[in-house]
Formats: sequence, C-alpha cells, structure tokens
Amino acid sequence: MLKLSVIEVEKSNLYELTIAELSRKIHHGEFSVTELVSSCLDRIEKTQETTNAFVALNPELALETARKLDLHFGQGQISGPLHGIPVAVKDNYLTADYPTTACSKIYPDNPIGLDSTMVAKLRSAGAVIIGKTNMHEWAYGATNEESSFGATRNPWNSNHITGGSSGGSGAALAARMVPAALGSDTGGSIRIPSSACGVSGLKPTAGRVSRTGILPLSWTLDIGGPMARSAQDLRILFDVIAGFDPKCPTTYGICSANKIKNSGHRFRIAMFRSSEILCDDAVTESVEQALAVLREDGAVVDEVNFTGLETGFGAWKIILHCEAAAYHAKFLAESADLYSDNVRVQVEAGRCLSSSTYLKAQQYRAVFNQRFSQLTNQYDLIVMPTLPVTAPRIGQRELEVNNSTITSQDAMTSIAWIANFTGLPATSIPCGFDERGLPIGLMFVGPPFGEDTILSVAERYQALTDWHNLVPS
Amino acid sequence: MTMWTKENLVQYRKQLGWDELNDEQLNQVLAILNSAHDTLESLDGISWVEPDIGFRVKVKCD
Repeated sequence: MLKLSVIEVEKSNLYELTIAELSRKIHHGEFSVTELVSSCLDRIEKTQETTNAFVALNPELALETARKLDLHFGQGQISGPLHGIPVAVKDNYLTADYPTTACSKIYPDNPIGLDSTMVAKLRSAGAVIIGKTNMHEWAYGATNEESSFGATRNPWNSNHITGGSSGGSGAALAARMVPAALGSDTGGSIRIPSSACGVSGLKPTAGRVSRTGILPLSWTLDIGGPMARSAQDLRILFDVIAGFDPKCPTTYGICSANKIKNSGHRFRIAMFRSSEILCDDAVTESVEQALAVLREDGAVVDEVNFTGLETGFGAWKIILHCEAAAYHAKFLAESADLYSDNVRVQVEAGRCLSSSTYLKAQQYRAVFNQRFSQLTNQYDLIVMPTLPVTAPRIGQRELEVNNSTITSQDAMTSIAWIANFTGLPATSIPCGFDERGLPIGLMFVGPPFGEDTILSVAERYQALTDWHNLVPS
Repeated sequence: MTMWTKENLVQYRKQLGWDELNDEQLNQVLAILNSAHDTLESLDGISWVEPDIGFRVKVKCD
C-alpha cells in the first residue's frame, strides 16, 4: 500500500520533471502520456490565475492527442524524440487547432487551420501542443504588460513582470505548468523572460530555424526558438525544430557546425565589458560568480572591451521600427484604435522614419557585425548578463541603474539586442537571485551556427550548479 | 535629417491624411524619432559601407 501511494504522489507531480526525464520514463512505460498531460493541466488550473501565462487552452484536445499517443505506444510505436511531451506555444505561432492573435485585438480569435513549420515539426516528433501563451502585443515590447489578455505575472513574485515578449512561455515554465515552450526573439524576447523567470532559453542563429507561420515583427531581426528548464532540454527541442524549410527562404540546409576550439572543458570565454552597459550590483556579482565556476572547471576567461553599443542599440531600434511599420501599415490604416498606446506609438514612429535612415542603420549593422565577428573568431563564446536588472514591478515605467534612469523597456533589451543585430546564437540560463528572490540570467553568445558550443557550456554550467532546478514557492 | 518638433510632426501626419494622435501619443512618437535622430548623427562617415540587410553567414553548406 505504501509503495502504491508513493507512485501516486509521483504521478501527480509529473509536471516537475524535465523533458529528458519525462522521455526516459515514458519510454520505460512508467506512466502514460495521458497521465502526464493530466498532471500539467491540473498544474495549469492551479497556477493560471496567479500568472496569466496561457491565453488559449483546449484540455479535451490535449487529452485526445495524449490518448492517441498512448495507443500508438501500446502498439510499439514511438512518434519521435518528443513523444508525449506537453509544449506551450507563444501566441504568434500559427497553430491549426488554437487561435493565433499575437495578443492583439486585431487578429480574429478563431483557429486559422494551419501550423507554423516549427509547430508542425514538434507535432511530428510526438509533442502535445497544450495551449498558447501570453505575450507582449505583437511581440512589440519586452515587458509583457501590454496584451489583450492582460499582463503576465512573474511566478517568483506576481507583482513583477515576466519580461517579454515571450513572457507567457517563461511564466509557464517557471511555474512548472509545462516542461517545454516556444518563444520568438527580435531583441531578446526569448532570453529576457528566460532570465526574468529563472528558466533557460535559446535564440538560434538567424536562418537556423524556419519562421514560416510566425507572425512577423521585424524581418531581419526575428527568429523563433525553444524555452525549457535546462540546457539539455533546449538541445532536445532545438534538434527537432532546426533545419531547412523550403517555405522559408532564410533557412539554411545542413551546415558545418562550429567546432569547440579546445577539448574538454577548456572553453575560451570572452567576458564582455563595456562602459556602455550599466548593471545592478547583484547582477554583476552573479555573473562574476558564474564565471568563477567555469574558470574553476578549466575554462580560460579573458576580459574584452567593446565600444559602439549605444549607437548599435539605436540602430537596432531604427531597423525594428521601420520593418514593423512596413508590416503594420495595413492594420494601422484600418484598425489603429485596436492597438494599445504602447505599441501604436512605436508603429507610428516607424512610419515616419525615412528609407535612408533605415539603410544607414543597416550600414552601421555591417560595421558593428564585422567588429563583433573578431570576438567570435577568437573565442568559443562571449559571456554577458542577459538583463542589467532583475524583473521590474508591473507598472514601473522607469528604474534606476547605477545612478542612471532608464525605461523598463530599454532595460530589458539593452544587452540582448546584440544577438539579433548580429544574427548570432545566444542562450540565457539562470545564475542567481537578487535580495528580493528574483532570478538573474547569464547569457552566452556563440559564433555563427555555434548552438552546440553554447549549449555545451550551458549544460556544463548546469551540471556544476543548481540555479536552474530552483522552483518558485 | 533635422530634429522633429511637435508642430512639424502634426503637419506631416496631416499632409499624409493619418489619424490625429493625442498629446501624450505625440510626445512618445517624438521621443522615438529624436532618439533615432541622435543615433543617425553618430553614423557619419559610413556612407561607403554596404548595408547588412539581415544576417549573412559564410559557412560551408553540404
């Protein structure tokens, strides 16, 4: 009897396990996909009100999919590496059976009947799409406060933002509602909520994954990617979603991966320094401690100074606003009153910027990227904080960082934009907490197609530390 | 490119037949435009550079 009750308790807490653990146990027949999906749905029911992480759920559909997968398993069939894994999808990915609104009031809230390429790949690999997650309206902001479904709240402290724009995915992972999620990233929108919510996120190299079926924000900056609770899980998801898509002209085929420049754990790491990056002391301290862990493990860490970040940040914003204005021109002409003020003013500014301003910003991008490539040629990865601060309070428009006032929006994107501007892969993983108990994120930026490198270092760091295993109370 | 003022922003929008914005919205649009102006001022001297439209990586593809 005692043994049975222990098994029951374990089954009710399946939502706590990682993808790697769940897959192993499903394959061993320790529990069914239906039990796992039920466990996640129960957890969602308990935590949704506190977090507002989901904007669309269909428990019946998820359970029906789960039962089909169980039936296949009973017949000796495993659908793929994600057999039975519940995945939450950001609301700007087209999903055949859920509405896709980008959390705006403009898109109709009925399913379009098509899957984005990445969602289709997840389904083919056996994933159960469990629902759609909250996001900053149109992905045009990094706080997740502006959404037609209301702000997303941080599971570590519900008075604080989750960061965005993939904040619902970040909150769903942190609150253990799901083991896996998809986000999208134009200036940090996967990594920002990963940092603010204490989970792991990967922004792939531009062209490494298909953007077909993701509502665009800025064509030369956008990319989708996985979010999870460990770097190991990011790798599992990335292996499924990466690759050439004939429907997406920006994707690459199988390309020679960047090899780690040193064997074992002797990674060559550049600690990114700039007088233009202002960070809270708690963030600086946590990043230093993380580097000490890697150094102790054999990594070679050099400090590198880099300039031109302020201009680069400005050029990134120009590109973002111009490209977003082009996409939104039709919506703005027809339904301007359906935008939130926060998003509308950015689109309105973008339509006032000239074509020569846009090209000038793209010219600076070329100069900046050329300089940045000298770092990626020399090092396995570049380390920087994901965010200069921990998550601000909901409604806090400005904050103080090292005696300077900065808007919450700028604080969120002030470092993360670099990986979108350069197109380089980057991951954010937890590396500590501030005195209020809010998570701090560590960012690794790799060379082109260097996902394997940055995930290897992230996996190594997570094997040596426990930050990623901590759960909000 | 010269700095935008509220007056020329309102005039510009009127000429193009765009909806009127309230005062707070105009201020926020102006803040973004003038921030872009500041960025552009620091970009003198790169007129010879070919723009990097998107990310192009030189790797061997099989």
